[in-house]
Amino acid sequence: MPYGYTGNILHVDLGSKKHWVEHPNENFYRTYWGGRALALYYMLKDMKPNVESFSSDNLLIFATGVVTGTPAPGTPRYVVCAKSPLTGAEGESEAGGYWGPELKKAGFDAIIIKGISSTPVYLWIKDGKVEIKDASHFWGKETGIVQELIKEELGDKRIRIAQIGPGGEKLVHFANIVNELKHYNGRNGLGAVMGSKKLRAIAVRGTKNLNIFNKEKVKDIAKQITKRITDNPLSRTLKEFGTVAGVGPVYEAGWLPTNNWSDNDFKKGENLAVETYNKTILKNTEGCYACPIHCKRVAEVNDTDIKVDPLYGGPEFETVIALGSLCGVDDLKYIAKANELCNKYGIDTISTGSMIAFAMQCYQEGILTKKDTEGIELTFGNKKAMLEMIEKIAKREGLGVVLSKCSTLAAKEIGKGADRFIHQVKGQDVPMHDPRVKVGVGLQYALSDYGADHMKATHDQFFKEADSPGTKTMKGLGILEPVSPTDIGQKKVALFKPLDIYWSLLDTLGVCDFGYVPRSVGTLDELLEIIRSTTGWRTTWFELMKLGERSINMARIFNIREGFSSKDDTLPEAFYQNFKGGPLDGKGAINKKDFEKALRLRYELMGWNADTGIPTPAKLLELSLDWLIDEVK
Amino acid sequence: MIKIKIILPYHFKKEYLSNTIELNYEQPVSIDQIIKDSKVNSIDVCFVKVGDLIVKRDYIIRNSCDIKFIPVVGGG
Repeated sequence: MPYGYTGNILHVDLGSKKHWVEHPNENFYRTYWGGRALALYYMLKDMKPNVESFSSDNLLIFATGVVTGTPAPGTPRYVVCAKSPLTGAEGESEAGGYWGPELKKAGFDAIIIKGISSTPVYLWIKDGKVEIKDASHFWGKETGIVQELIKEELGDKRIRIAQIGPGGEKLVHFANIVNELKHYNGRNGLGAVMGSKKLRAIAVRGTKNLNIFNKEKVKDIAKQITKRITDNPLSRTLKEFGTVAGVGPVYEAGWLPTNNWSDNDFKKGENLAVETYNKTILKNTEGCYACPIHCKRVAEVNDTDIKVDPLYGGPEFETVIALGSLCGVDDLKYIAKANELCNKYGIDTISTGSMIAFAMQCYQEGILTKKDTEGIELTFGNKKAMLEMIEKIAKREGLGVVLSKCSTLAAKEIGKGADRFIHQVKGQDVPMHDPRVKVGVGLQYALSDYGADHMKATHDQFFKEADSPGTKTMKGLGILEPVSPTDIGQKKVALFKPLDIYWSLLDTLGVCDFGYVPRSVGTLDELLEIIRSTTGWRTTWFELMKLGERSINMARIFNIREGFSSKDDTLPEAFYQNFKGGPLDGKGAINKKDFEKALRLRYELMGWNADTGIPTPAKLLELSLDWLIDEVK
Repeated sequence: MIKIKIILPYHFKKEYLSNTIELNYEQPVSIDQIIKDSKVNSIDVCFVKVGDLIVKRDYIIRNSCDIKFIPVVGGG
């Protein structure tokens, strides 16, 4: 068994209630490593094309990375993959927290789940032993209650639980999976896949030590990184203010997504900024396993008219905007309440906010009426209506039945031109970063196999100037010069190729981008040494970047098998229009032809056909993926 | 005399223990030079606003005014 791994991959068939353990050899681990690459290996090998997302043949895969659970900062992460009910494409979402490290301590690198149970169940994994247990008595209950009940039932407070909520049980297309009530595999509706399998939770407990080649070296690097956290402006900001620190500057820059992207000049933006957050709702900060950065916020409100339970964490950058300005809401207490509700029910805050903002615009345009909303005045800024709609979506009641689906389907069902007001890529609503001011992020939105996602690569502003954090720290990957965030030329396309590969690598290794360059404090050298000291392999950035590229190509092929093509690599029309109002008024429109040209160039740089975006057989051979060549013929 | 009042909004206030920095110049001056003179770490500054206008670092200030340093935008 190679260092860094348990050497065990757990397979569970919920239909037959059987489970078995696979012990891959070292070459397998050194080819696919873990995380998204390992998950994609099984999705490509064991799933036939075009299975239904909610069928027994869809695999639901939880996979840790090789450094998950080591003492290094920013290494708590694991991925969940399946075919997504939201996009119909490769579904993928990473989470931090404590569950991933605990799974490895319990003896497994990954869990591959197939089949559908006839009754609600949960998995209980302790030190290599696996049980499929009845979860009928948990079904329908909120996540916070189930968390406590499972711990009571199993008699151990140190159990870590990844679970779905009632939203996942009811197959809301953007239901999520949460661990420890605060860490989310948030996007792509993977909670609905888990719900379709009638799998409410996976509880894990491990007492084994991880098998690390040179633990003292990893600890030493962790100490060095920790010492520098407060010297680095990015990690210092994350530690002191969390991701919410970004909201004020976005407002100031004039691109705060407002009223379902119809506006960018939210007049009450200061009410959402970190200063207001800290004064009105912040209770304390929290972090993930072994991470000293502590970027998570916990919110609490105890007003007479509104209360927010700190058990469910607090809203972060995406949530503050998606359930804030995007819905025209400027009251952080209500946004925190909306966050709490989404988390109790297990639904993604970005998609939930996006669907409510979409419905609000439809209502204002007369496409939806009070009859449709059952009397709710669904106007932008109506914070109480927003909370009511979250309940309806999570419970799939009334208008919530339509809004609980992928936005493309919802717009189709509503009709009357409602599709003008959706903003999605491959069926997933765009996150709260406007590609007009971050064109590289826009390219990533379009190219992302799992639909628009802000975590598909880093963001353009880190390479804006010669002294910007990314330009200064990523020279080891050949990134030497700054590029303007709004540039869409060859330099930008060339810049985002290694960044995409690097990000894909982080999602394969189990590394959080908030721990390492360009977004944070750990250096490329330190990250490489952590991987070497964990595995004992004298690996190089050459090998690691090939790994990142391998996983990108595997995801691309999965989607090609599902019928996706270069036509699906698009941006919503709104981003080809200029900003309206504020400092960016009359500017910003992305030139569609330039964007399409950039995509073609990117295909070529990736070794894909410039017209179709399909990986060439030679590229697959280069990446040791020759077993997939038949898929692209 | 060109009087420049630099406003440090949001979390800058806490990091630099002040809301404002005031600098005086005899001649027109670039944003880049102002950042250097302010002793604010240039890596911390994502962009600079003069009034409602977002300006580049080679932009020249010719008259007394207030300018805002906006910190690096997070996200995720």
